Amino acid sequence: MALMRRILREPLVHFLALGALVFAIFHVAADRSGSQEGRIVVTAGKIEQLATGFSRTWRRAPTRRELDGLIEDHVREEVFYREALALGLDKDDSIVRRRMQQKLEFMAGDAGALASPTDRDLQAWLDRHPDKFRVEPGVAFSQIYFKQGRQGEGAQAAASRTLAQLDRREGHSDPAQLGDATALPREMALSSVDEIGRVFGDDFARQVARLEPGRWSGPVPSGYGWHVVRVAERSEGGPKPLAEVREAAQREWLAARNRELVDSTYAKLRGKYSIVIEGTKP
Amino acid sequence: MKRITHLITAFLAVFAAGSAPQLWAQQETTTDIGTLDRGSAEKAFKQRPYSPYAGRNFPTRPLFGDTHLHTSFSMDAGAFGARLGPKEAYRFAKGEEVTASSGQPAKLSRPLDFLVVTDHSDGFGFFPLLIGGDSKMLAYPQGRKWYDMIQGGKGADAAMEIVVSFSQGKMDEGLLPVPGTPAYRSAWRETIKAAEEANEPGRFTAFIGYEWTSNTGGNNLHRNIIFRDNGDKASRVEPYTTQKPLGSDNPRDLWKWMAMYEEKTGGELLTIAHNGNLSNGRMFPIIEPGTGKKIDREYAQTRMKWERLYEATQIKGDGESHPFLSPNDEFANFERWDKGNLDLSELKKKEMLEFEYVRSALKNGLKLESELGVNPYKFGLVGSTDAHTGLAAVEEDNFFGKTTSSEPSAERAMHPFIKNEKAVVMAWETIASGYAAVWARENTRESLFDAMARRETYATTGSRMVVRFFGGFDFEPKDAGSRLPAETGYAKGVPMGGDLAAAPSGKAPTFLVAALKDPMGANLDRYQVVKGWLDAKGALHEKVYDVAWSGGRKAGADGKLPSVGNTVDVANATWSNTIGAPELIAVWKDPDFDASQRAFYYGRVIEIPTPRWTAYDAKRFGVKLPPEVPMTTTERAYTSPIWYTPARS
Repeated sequence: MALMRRILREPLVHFLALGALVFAIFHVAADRSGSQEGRIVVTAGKIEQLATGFSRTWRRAPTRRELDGLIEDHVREEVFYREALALGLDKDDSIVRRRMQQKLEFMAGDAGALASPTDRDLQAWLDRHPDKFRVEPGVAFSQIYFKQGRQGEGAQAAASRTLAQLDRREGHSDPAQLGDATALPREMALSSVDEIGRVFGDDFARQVARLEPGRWSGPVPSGYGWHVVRVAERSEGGPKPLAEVREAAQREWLAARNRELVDSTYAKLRGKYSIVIEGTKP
Repeated sequence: MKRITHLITAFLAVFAAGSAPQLWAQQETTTDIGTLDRGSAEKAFKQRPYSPYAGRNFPTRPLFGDTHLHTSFSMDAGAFGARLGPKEAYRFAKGEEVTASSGQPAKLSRPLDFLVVTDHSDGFGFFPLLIGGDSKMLAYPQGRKWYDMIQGGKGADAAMEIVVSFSQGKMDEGLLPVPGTPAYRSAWRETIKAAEEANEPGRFTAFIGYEWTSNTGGNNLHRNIIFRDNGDKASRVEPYTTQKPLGSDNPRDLWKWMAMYEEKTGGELLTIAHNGNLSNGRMFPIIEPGTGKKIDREYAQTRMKWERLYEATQIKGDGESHPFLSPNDEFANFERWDKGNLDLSELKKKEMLEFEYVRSALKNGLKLESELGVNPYKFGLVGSTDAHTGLAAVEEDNFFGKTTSSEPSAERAMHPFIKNEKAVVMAWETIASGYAAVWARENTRESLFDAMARRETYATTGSRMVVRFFGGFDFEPKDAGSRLPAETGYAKGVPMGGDLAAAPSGKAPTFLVAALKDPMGANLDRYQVVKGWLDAKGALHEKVYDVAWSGGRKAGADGKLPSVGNTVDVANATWSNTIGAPELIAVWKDPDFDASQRAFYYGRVIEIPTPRWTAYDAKRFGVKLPPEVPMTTTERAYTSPIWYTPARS
């Protein structure tokens, strides 16, 4: 009985009891079912709700047996729920406490999900978070390949000789016909350094990104051999325009707004309490 | 296991409206306005642009990914301590650094291009709920007991009990979240949401998927299901499970579910089976398990429709072929797992092997096709990890293991992976393998999926080598010196996964093959073509041809090419690219072709020897591993086959 008395003194229990009462009244008003102490009434409305839930999942109506099972499950849940509440099992359970905290947080955050940011909101957000959406610097280039371990003249020497020829514009040869045959791309359209690295290796990509555009240069080594490279175009990196990232920016914006709302709700609620933190004695 | 309080979260997902449904069936050009003659047809098409690089309509680099990765949402992964969920898994695959469940930082050497998180459909989301102390779960005696064990620091024991009682069907009825329950739905929605948020068309593809883990009697018939669609369609169903009465362990029922999904949503699915090596003769059957009858035309048709690919290599062993099946193939004995089925409850018998491995299945497929008119085993190949850590990390020098307990540590190699009174598989036998390479034109769900559906894929054991394989009747030796070999390949032939039919009189199939080493990896030893065929008497054959190799090696009297050598310094876990070649390219013509016989051809590319993950462990942790532990490996790639079908006589 001591336990019961302690439970009955708990403000939380009062609060819960009050909540349960409100709920019960609402329930009675809604479907005229009596949900009194020691009595569980499963109304026709509730049964229909259970059946609808089942049909939504299985795309067919439950059989009589299945429906009986659903009802029994519901009763079982209700019995345990009430008994557990009566025993105050919700009270010291950190899971229940957090779950309830979470429910309120979701409710607070939900309000944010309805908001729709204007372009100005989004642009302001992008400006404040320039690293979230960036265009990586890009390079477009052509390359002439000299295979590591090729017959005759070594790859690096052959590459240097070809580069000198190209510089002197000797032979008027088509660059696409120079060097060794390869399945490596001879040309890459404007691509990020990362993307170039995935094809030629990172060291090669970094070196190519530093070459002066408009002329043949190198030779540049890679894991495959040596390359004479002509950078056609280089683009600087920078923030992406809003039009390209609107959807993702909106998601980020909403998530941020959701956090703000939850925090401000918390600040407001916290203001209702006077909080005493008893320091531990040294 | 640490005491972890995990919040149960509810999810509000808003899914973007999806793409229009598309059909798999190739569009056939039919005309009923007269015969199209060649002259007018040519005029109708634009001439090639001057620039050889303009208007190119084929993929220029393969996209690498993992089609098979588990997170904490998988019951067994959670049991072994995985705490990373789908979100973290996608982040890691995109190249971000994450903290592994074992507490150590983890990062890939370079990002992957795509990932499918495939958690087990049975018990989906079980662990996050149990660890979070979900009240519904604690209402069951087992749930309460396991929760208390985990809280009391006996997580590993709880994990074992959970996995055993699950696999033996001894779980409290109702404890496992099943489709239709809020817990299950919420876990599925979270998976979808993680994929939707990680998906960045053009840059990184996050597929929606799951694994259907049929494992009756410990015999592995597992399959991964991949959605072409976005969350709007995927969220209209919940994954198909194996436990009755909602699910089934029979693949035929899974295929029915897939058909139901497509019918209901207008979406598209495909499925990838794996680990035939642990199925004890059931993965590629001729006699259907369950019925005891020979597989029929309907089975063949349905299987071929859905099972477009097969996962040929992964952490639990490589599945290309077996020395017993391919005694003349010196490379067939690679990282085999052939002691028994998945839980070692039944040991392996030699007669099972034929129905477990890629090459023998492709061969039996030819035979079945000659009898049924349909080839049930006409699949392409991918590799994937099957890691249960949320980390698709299978580079030899960056291997994060099969489960959280096998994440890097000094002791991990010498733990038993599976052990019972019959046999033991040690953790050092797990292999750092593999990845899926897909020749897709764009990095999007649609483009990748379509390339998978047409089997334009290959498997690697973790290396990112670039492999081309084209078949046709008109390739000439000079095509190997072409400036644009891929263009020549597409113009004159079909890519991997394709078909050749009705050989022109007097012609044999020719193949344009090319391989580039992984830009960060080891040189290549050789490119081989594996051929299988059905002779006039109904007997099956196979042969491996060396078609391109490094250096000036010449085949010996036995017809075998000498070994490329070995530069591995095991003690220091290093090697050098002083042997092998960075690139191999050749045109090969089948010297033993008979136009009346069904055949398949696939490419196999072998790297020079490099340190195996065990060598990196030994070096970095300063441990000595016993002599039976292999310390070197030869990474490899297997392309999807090209099939030759004779004209009907």
